[in-house]
Amino acid sequence: MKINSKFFKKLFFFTLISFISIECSIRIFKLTNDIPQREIDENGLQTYVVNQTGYFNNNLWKVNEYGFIGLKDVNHDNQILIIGDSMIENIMNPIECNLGYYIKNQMKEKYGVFEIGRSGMTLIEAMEFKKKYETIIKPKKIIVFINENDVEESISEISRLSDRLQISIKSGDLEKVKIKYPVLKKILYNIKTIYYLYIKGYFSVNFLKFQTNKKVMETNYEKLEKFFTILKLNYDLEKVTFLINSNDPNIELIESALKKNKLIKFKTLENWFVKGDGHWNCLGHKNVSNLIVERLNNIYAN
Amino acid sequence: MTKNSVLVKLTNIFREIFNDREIVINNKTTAQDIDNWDSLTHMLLISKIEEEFEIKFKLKELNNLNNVGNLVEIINTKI
Amino acid sequence: MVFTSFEFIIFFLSLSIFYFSISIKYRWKLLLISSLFFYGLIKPIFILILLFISITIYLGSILFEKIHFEKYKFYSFIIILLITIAPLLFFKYFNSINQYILTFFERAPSKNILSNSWLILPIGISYYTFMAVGYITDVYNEKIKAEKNLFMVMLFISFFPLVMSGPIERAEKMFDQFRNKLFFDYKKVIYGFQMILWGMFLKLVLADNLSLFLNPIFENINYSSGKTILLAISLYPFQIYGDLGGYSLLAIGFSSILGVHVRINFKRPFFSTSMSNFWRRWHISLISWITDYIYTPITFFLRKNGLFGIILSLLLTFLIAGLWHDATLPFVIWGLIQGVVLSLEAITKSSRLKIFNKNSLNNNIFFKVCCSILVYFIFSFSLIFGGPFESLNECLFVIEKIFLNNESFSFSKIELLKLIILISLVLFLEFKQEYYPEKLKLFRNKNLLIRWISYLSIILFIVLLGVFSNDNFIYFQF
Repeated sequence: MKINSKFFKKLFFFTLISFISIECSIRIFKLTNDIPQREIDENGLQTYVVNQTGYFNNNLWKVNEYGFIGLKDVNHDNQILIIGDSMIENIMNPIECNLGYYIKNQMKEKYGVFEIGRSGMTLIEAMEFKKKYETIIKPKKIIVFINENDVEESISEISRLSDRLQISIKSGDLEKVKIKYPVLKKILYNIKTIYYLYIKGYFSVNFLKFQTNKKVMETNYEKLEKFFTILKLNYDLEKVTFLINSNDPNIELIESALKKNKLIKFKTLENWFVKGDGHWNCLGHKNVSNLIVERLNNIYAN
Repeated sequence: MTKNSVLVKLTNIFREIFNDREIVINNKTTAQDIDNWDSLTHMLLISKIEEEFEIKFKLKELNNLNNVGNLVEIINTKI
Repeated sequence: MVFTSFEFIIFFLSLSIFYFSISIKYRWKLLLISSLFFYGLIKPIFILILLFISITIYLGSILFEKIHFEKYKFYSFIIILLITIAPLLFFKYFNSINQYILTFFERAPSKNILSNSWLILPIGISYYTFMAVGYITDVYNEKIKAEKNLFMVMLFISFFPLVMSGPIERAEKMFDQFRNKLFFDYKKVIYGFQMILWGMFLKLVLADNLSLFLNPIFENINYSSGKTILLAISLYPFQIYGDLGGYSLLAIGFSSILGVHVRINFKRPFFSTSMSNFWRRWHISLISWITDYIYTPITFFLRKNGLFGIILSLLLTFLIAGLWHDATLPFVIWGLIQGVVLSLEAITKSSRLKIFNKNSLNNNIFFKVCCSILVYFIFSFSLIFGGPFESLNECLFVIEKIFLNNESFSFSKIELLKLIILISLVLFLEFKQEYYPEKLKLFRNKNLLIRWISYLSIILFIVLLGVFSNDNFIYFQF
C-alpha cells in the first residue's frame, strides 16, 4: 500500500502540472475563441457583461459600456442604429469589417453608427432593443437585420426556446427568458482546457450545440402573418428599414406584410462567408454596407 | 546412437544447410544463436535431418521444439 | 467505444478504481464482466459470438484430451476448428460471395434477396477467432493443457483491451496472468501509462492528421494529379502504422495497468533491412500467428520439395493473408506481391549474406538506412492493392496516373509541412531507439525531470495537434 500512495501522489502532481501547462498553452496560443458572458435585464433583454475583452479568430473584441461589442457613436446629428443577431455582432471578424464601420467610411463620417448585435437575437428582441435604445440614441434611421430563423424563433407557439426572447401570438405577451446552463458555461469559460476539448468535439455529447430550426414555413404561415400584425401594432416602424436576404424562405410573406420600401434585399455569393462558418466575412459585410449606403443616399437626396 | 553422435551428425547437417563451416551446436542452442536459422530455412533443415537419419517427424513434435537438445531427444526416440 | 474516446477513459478509470479495491481473486471475474459489457456496447447480440466461440473451444480442448486414438483426435480437431472459424467465415465472406454470385447473374446488388444491412462485421472477430484457433491448436498439439474453467476461456477470448484489434495473444501466456498476476505492479502501471501516451500520439496526432490529408485524395483519385497520388501512397504506410500501431500500444498500455503483459505488435517497422525483416516488425502478433498456424503446417507438408516448397508455402501463406484482409482481387495481388518479394529474398539470401559480410555492410548504418528506404517503398507500392482502393480497375487507374499524369502537386503546403514534421519526429525517435538505444533516453531516463518533460511534451502534442472528432467546428453561444 505504501508504493500505491507514493504512486498516487506522483500521479496527482503530474496530472496537475500537465493540466496547468495545457491551460497555459491554450491561453498563450489563443487556441480557443473567447466568447463574452451575458447578463439579462428585467425585460428579458440579454447584453454582455461590460468591460470584458477577448479574442475570437485572433481578433480582439471589447464589450462597451452598453453591453455590446460594436460601434457606439451617440451624439451625432445623423445617428444610425443597426440591430441584429450574430451577423451584426460580427465577432468572427475585426471590428473594421462591421457594417457601421464601412458605412461611416463611405459616407465620410456624415453619420454616427450605434450597433446592437448579439448572437441569438430574435426579431422580437431586436424590436425591444429598438424601443429601449431609440430614446437614448435618438437615431434618424434604424436598420434591423432579419436572419433566416429570426422570425420563427420570435414566436413561442412555433417552438419554445427558453433562452431567447419570444412573444406569444395568442396573448401578445413577451415570454420569460433565462440563460441556459449558466454554471456549465461559467466552468467552460474559466477552464479553457475543457472548453478547448469541447469545441474540438472530444466530448461526444454536444448538449450545448446550437440546433438550427427546420424550415416550417407552410404550416406556420398564419402564425407568421399574425406575428407581423402584432409587430406593426406594437412598434413604431417609421424610421425602421429591414435588411433581409432575398432568398429568405419567408421573403414573400415579409414583403406583403411590410411596405416594399421598408426592405433592403441582398443576394449572397459563395465568397462572402467565413470558412467553415455561416457568417459573412469582410467582403460580405462590405457588399451589404454598399446597399445600405445606396439607400441612405437616396433618402438623403430626396 | 548416443546423444553425442547424434549431435555430431546434426552439426554437419547444420553446417551444410546454413552454409557455414564454423557452426558449433550444443543442447542449449536455439534459433536465436544461428544467424540464418529462421522460418524459411527451418523446414529445409528439418527435411535434411529426416533424410540423413531416415526418420519422419510429426508436425506436433516440431511445434514443441525449443532448442537443439529437444531435437536430439526426438531424433533419439525415432532411431 | 474506442480507446481514445472520452467515454472509454471514464469507463477505464472507474473500472480500475473498482478493480484495485476488490480482492485479487475476484479481479479476473470483474475483467470478464466488464469485457462482455464492453463488447456488448457495440451490439448486445455480438456477445453471443464470443460465448459461442468460447464454449466451442472449451469443449473441444477438453475433448482432445479425452481422445487417445490419433485419427479420431485429428478428425475432432478439424471439426472443432471449422466450428470455431464458422462465424468469421460467415460474417467476412458472406457479403463478398453474395455480391460475386449476383454480379455473375448480372443482377444489381440493390435487388439483393438477403439484405446486407444486418450483416455488419462484428468488430474484432478475426482477432479473437485467431486467438481461439491458436488455443485449440496448441491443446491439440499438446503444447498446453486444456483450461478447465469455462469462464477463464471466455475471459481469454473477450478480454476487452485485445478484443477489438489485438495484439493476438497466446493462451499459454494469458491464463497464467489472469490467475496469478492481476495485482498492482508499479512498473507495469508506469509502462502502461507510457504506452498509452505514445499510442495516443501515434493514433490521434500522426494517423488522424494523415487521414485528414490523405482520405480526400484517395476518395477523389479522378481529380488528383499523378504526383499527388504518388505522394499520398508514399505517406500511407505512416497512417496505417499510426492507426494500428497506436491502437496496439493503447491495448498494451491499458492491459499493462491491469497487470496483464501483452506482447509488442510493432517494432520500428520502418527500419527493416529486408522485407522478411519487415514482416518480423510489422503487425508481429498477426505474422507470428500466421507463421505458426498457417505457414508452418504448409511448409511441413511441402518440405520434401526443398526451396521450391518454401517458395510455394510463402506464396500460399500471403495469398491467404491477402484473402483474410478482404476477399477481393486487389488483395490477392497484394498477397502475391509480398509472396514474390519474400521468395526472391529467400532465393538470394545466402549470396546476399556473403556480399554483405565481405564488404562488412552488416554494421554500416548508412547502408542499413538505404535498405530500409527500399523496403519502405516496396511496401507502399504494394499498398496500392492492399489499401484504400476498392476495385482492381481503380488500382490500375492509380498506377497509370502515377506514371503518365504530369500535372503538378495540388495540396496545402502548410498541411504537408506539418505532416512531414510529425513523421520526422517519429522517425527520429525510432532511429535513436534502433541504433543508439542507450543515448538520449526519454521515457526511461533516470532523471525524473527529463522523464516528466518528455511525458509533458507528448501530452501537449496530443492536445494541441490531435484530431478528436471529424466534426471540427462546433459553434456555440454563451
